[in-house]
Amino acid sequence: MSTDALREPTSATAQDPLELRPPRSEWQMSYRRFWRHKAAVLGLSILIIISIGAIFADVIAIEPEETFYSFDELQTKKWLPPLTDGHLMGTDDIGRDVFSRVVRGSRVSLRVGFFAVGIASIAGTLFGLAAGYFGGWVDQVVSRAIDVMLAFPDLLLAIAILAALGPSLVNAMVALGLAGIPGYARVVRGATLAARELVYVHAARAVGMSDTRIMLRHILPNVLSPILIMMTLGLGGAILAASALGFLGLAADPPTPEWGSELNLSRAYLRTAWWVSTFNGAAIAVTVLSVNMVGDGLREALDPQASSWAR
Amino acid sequence: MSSRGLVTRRKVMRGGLAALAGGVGAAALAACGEAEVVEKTVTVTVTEVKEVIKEVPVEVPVTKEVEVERVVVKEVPVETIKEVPVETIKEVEVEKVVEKEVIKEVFVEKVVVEEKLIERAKELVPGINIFSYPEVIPLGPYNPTVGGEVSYPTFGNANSYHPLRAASRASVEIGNMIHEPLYVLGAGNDFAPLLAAGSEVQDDRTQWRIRLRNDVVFHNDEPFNADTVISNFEEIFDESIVRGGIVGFANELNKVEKVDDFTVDFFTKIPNALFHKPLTRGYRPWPLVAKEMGEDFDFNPIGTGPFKFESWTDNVELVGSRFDKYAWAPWYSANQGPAYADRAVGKVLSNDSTARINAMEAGEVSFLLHFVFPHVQRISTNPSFRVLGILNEGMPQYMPINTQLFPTDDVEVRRAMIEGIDRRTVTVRANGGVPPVVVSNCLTSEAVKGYNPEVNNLYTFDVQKAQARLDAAGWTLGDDGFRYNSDGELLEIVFPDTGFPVRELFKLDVEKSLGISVQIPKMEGSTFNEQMQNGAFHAAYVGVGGPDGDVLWDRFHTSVYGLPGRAYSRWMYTDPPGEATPGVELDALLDGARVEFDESKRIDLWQRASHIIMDNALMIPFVTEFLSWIANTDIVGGNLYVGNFALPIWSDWYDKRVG
Repeated sequence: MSTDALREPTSATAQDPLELRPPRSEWQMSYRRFWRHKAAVLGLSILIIISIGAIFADVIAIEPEETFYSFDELQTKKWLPPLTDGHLMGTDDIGRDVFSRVVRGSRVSLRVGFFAVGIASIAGTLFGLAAGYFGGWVDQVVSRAIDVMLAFPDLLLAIAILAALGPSLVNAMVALGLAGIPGYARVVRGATLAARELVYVHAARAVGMSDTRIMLRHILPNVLSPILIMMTLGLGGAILAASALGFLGLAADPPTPEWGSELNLSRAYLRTAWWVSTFNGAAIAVTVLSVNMVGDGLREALDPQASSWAR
Repeated sequence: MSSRGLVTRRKVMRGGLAALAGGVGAAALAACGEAEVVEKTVTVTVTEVKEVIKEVPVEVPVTKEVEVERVVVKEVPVETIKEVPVETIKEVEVEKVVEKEVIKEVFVEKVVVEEKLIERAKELVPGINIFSYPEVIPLGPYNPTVGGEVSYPTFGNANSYHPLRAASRASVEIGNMIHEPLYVLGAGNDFAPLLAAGSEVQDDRTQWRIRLRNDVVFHNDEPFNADTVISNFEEIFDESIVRGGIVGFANELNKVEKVDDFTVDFFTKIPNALFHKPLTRGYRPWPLVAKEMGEDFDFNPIGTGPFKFESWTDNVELVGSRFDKYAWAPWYSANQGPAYADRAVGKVLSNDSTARINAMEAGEVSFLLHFVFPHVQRISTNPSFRVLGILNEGMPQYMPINTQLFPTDDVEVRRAMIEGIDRRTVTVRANGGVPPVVVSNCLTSEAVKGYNPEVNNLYTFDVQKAQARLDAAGWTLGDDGFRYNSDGELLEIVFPDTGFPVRELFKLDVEKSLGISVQIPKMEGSTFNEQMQNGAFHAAYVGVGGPDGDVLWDRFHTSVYGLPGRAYSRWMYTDPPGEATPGVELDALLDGARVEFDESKRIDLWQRASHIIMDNALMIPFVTEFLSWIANTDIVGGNLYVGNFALPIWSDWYDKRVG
C-alpha cells in the first residue's frame, strides 16, 4: 500500500477529522477571531445602522434639508423639546427638526471620514512602500518629510492646510487626508523594511520580477494588516477631526447639516435648548465609539500577538 | 503597530468618550437648569423724545428750502449767508409755521410707535424690562453705601490704556473708569460737557473755542488745563509716535492753540458742525507725565476718572481704586462726588454667551451686556437679576450692496432684494433666536437725528412684488429654480461668510423666494475686509452706530471708498480706487450736513441723503436690535446710563453688600 493509498478516504466516519478539515487561511482565522469579539460586533452593528441612516437620510428625515420657516411659523416651531409635535429630538432655534439634521449630518461626517482615511492610507502606503523598499535617497527624502509633518499635531496641520486651500467641505477632506499621510507612511515603511529582507522577496528579485510587481504582489499583502487596523482607528479620528473643523466653521457650508457646526451653533443655547447640542454631540460620540470598537476588534483579529502583548 | 498608531487610537477613544460624557453632562445640566417660564409684569416707559418733534416734521419744506441752503453753504463764503435775499428768509419763516402744525401729529405717531414696539417686545421676550433709547434706568431704590467693589464686563483683550493708542473695545469700555472725554453723549442724543465747561464756534466756523473746567486734576495731582490739551495734541500730530484711531480726528484739524489756562481753540480744516462727536470718544486727555513714561504708560495709565489705576492682568481684569478728589461726573449722574465703591473691576469675559451668563450667575460681575435672549426666561425668574432691554433704534444691522458688480449693478435686482427678503426672519438667529422687534428701512431710524419717515415707506415686504420686479427686469425663472437673463447669465450673488449667523437663513430665503443664487465663500476677517474694499462681493452683513445721520457720510460718501469698513456700495464711484467722484448729489448733501450749523437744516439734508440711498437701493437695511443688559441687583445699586454710547458711569454705582 502506497502512502497515497493510505491517505485515500474510505468513508466519512473512518476519517480523522483533523485530516479532513481543509487548512484555514490567515484571513479566515482573522474573520473568526473578529466575530468572537463581542464589542467589535456591537460596534459594527451600530456603524451599519448609522451608515444605512446616512445612505437613506432623505427617506428617514421628516423635513427637507433646506427648510425655511416664516416669521409667524417660527413662533410655534422653534425650540420644541424632544418628543413634541412629532419631533423625536426636538427643534432648533429656527424651527428645524433636530432628528432630520442629525441623520443628514451623518452623511457628511462619514463622507469626510472615509475620504480622509482613503487619501491618507493610499498616499501614505505608497510613500511608505517606496521609502522602505528602495531605501537610499528615496527613504531619506520621504522620512524627513514625514518627520516634518509629524512635528505638527494632525488637527493643527489640517487647519493650516485649510487656511491655504480655503475652507470648504472638499478641502476639509483633502486637509485631513494630507494630515494623516505621515502616520501611514511611517508604519508601512517599517513593515516594508522588514519584509524586503525576507527570502521570498529575494527570490522574486532573483527571477527578475520588477520592483513595482514585488512591492504590490509580495510586500503589500504582508503589510496590509496594520494598514487596515490604522484605517479603522483613523476613521474615528477623522470623524472627530471633521467635527472639530465643522465646529470651527471650516467644513460644510450652510445650510448643509454637519454635526460639528450644529454643535457650534447650538452651544449658545445649551442651558435653554439642551437637546440640539446634546443629540449632535451624542451622534459624534456614538459614531466614533462604534468605529473604535470595530478597530479594536480588527486589531485583535489581524494581529493577535500584538494585541496580547499590548494587554 | 507603531506606537503612534496606539497613541492615536487612545486619543480617539478618549475623544469619543469625552464627547459622550459631554453630551450626557450637558443633558443633565440642562435638565437641572431648565426653568419654567414665569410671566412677569413689564413696566412700559414711554418717553417723549423732544428731538423727534424737531426732526420729523421737516419733511414738507425739505425740497424747496434745502436747495437754497446747498448753494449757500457749498459755494458762498460764510459772510454771504447774512446777505441771503429777503425773499428766501420769508420763505423759511412761512414754512416754520407749517412745521408747528405737523409736529403734533408726528409726536403722537412717535409715541404710538414706541408703545407698539414695547408691547411687541413684551410678547416676544417675556420677563424683560424694555426701555426706549436713550434712558436713565434706576437699578432699584437709591440708597448708596460707601465701600466694596463694583464690576463691569467687557470682552476681548486691551491693546493699551493710553488714550493715544487705545484701539480695542476693552481699552475704551473698562478703561473709562480711568480716562474721561471732554464731552459725553447725554439724554436726547445731545452732547454734554464733561471735562469741558462749554464751547462756541467762531464766525468762520472752523475755529472752535473749548472752555475747560478749572477744577479737574489727574490722579497724580497734576492739574488738567490748556497745557495738557496742547501737549496731548502735539503727540497726536506727531507721526513718529505710534498712535491709534485718534489719528482720524487729528486729520480733521489744522492746529490747536492755547487761549488762556483754561481755554483752547481747535482749528478744523473745513467747517464741522459735528465737532463735538470726536470729543466724546476719540480724545480723552492724559497728563504731561505720560511723555516721560513713554510706553510704560500703556498699562500704568493716569487719568481724571473716578478710579485710579491699580492693576491690569492681561486678558483677565483691570482694577481701579477710588479717586477721592473726583468731583466732575456728567451732569445727569446722581452722584457728583467721588465714587461710592472702593474698587472698580473691569472683567474680561469670554466671547461665548453661555460662559458669560455663567459668570453673571456666579456673581463674578455686577452686569452683563449682550446676553443671548433665550436665557431671559430662565434668568428673569431669579429675583436677584434685573433684565433690561433697550430699544437701540439708532443701530440697524444692514447689508451694503455693491452697485458696480454684475448683477447687482441692476437697480431692480437691488430693489427686489429689499422688498423680497424676509428681513425679520433672516435675522432671527443673529438676534439670539428672538425675532427682532423693529424692521428697519434706512440707516437712520427712529431715535437717530436724520430719520426720514418717508423713506420708511419706500419698501414693504412683498415677495410677489419683488418677483414681478425681477420678471419685468428680464430675469426669468429657469428649471433649476434660479433666474437667468436673456443672455443666459445666472442671477447670482456672492456673500462672504465671516461667521455671522445671518448667512444661512439669508441664503435659504433669497434662493427660495427670489430665485437668486447665493454663494457663501468662507473667510476670516482680514481677507474679508481686503476683498470687500476691492469690491469683490455683492453684499456683506455689517452693523453701524451713531446718534445722527452722519453715519451716512461714514458709509456712503465717496471719499471713504477703499477704507476699511466703509462705503461698500461703491455707488457713483470712479476708478482708480480711492478717488472720489466730486460733486455727486449724495456727497454734496452729506458734506452740506457736516458744515450746516442749523440743526433742523442739517437734519433735512440727512433726510434727503437717506432718500437717495434708499431710492437707489444702495443697501438692504435689516433690523434694529436690542441693547441687552442684566444687572445683579443683589450686588449693585445706582443707575444705568445708556446714553453715553452705553459706556458705564462708574461713580454712580455702589456695592449693596457693604453694610
